Amino acid sequence: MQLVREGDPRAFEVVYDRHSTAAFSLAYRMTGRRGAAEDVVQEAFLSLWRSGARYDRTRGSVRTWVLGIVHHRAIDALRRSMVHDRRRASDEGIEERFEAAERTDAEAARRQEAEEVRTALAALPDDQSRAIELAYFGGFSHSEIAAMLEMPIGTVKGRIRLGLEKLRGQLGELVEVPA
Amino acid sequence: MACPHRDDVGPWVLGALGGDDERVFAEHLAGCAECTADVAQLKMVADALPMAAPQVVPPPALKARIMGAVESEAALLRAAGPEADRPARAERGQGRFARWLAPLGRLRPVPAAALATVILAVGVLVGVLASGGDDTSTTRGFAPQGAQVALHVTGDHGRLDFTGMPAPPAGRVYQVWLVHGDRAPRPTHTLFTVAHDGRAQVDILESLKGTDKVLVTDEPAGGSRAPTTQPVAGATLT
Repeated sequence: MQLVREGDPRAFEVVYDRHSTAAFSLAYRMTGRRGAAEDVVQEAFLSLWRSGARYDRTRGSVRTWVLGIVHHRAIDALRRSMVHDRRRASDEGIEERFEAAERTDAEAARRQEAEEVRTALAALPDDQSRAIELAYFGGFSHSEIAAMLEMPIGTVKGRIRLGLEKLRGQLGELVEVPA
Repeated sequence: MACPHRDDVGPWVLGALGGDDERVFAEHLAGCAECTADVAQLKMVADALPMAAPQVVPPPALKARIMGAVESEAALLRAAGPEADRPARAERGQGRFARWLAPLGRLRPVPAAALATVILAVGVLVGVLASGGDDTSTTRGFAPQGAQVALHVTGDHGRLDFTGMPAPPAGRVYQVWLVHGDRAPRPTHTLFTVAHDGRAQVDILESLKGTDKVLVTDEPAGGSRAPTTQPVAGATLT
């Protein structure tokens, strides 16, 4: 990251190669549209390039930092362009696309971790996983979720909290401990 | 007694505590050790959530666009010299890019105009690289009985639109292959399934440059390096 801070394009390219699939996957999952996901990832990585000095290793891994920026950018895009409505309308028509077979042990390990997170999320009670998915992947605020699910805001907050606590218990060591 | 803001922690770490609630909780957090500890714990879970998204490989063209902009800016940064990247007191807190633009104001008129011209040229170049043409050609291809496929080609980018397409056999996915002349089909990272109603819009991740035909086979999850079954769908580029 020091070289990225110094404006080295090759160092930046390494960061891109390592984290672009996770970044694109998150953006695609959130926006539901390929073009929007590309825009989000492009905005996020160029933002990283132009402000690389803001990475603080004590607050987590580079991947967490990158994905945090992508998440914020995707929420901005959703709220800016009202992709929400289009995505809701086309949710049933989105086909899944998958990463090709892993080529390295690191990719295989990541895939295993991803499977564990998906399994843990799927194991939550529906009302909790729904609230968490709408909040994190949907970019909806707690009050929007309350309106969509026709339930009090306090109930939505409680379900999100309970769900996250259960996930923490299920994922155990997988959740990253800040340095 | 539990903090009354306890249930705000969940939406907060997911970025879902919008509006005034977000501001109020941020102020509360600064003075509440209980919520600070809760945030630290649940933030770790939130940080793992992106891994639940199905992993999708970004198109190579996206990297080309991003690296094009990065290389251009790095070249200008080098051309502007080390002074361009030196943070001045008045510029504290600004990003490198903003600091890099600062020399424009300190240069004499002619160099400033020249540098501005270079910046404008790079901006135009980046804009051209980032934009796509609007000329799209569409070809009908072959597909299983009852299904239809259309191949839309814009420049070197292709998209397959399926309707009525049956799902691949259990445990398998569809994979897109590119064929050039009589050569063996070239594998792509474009793997997909179809929705329950048989629809799918599949952006081909690889460039179609030099491609004569696009074929689709069903393959084991994760894809194959060479087709293991006969094509079930495909189209010829016009």
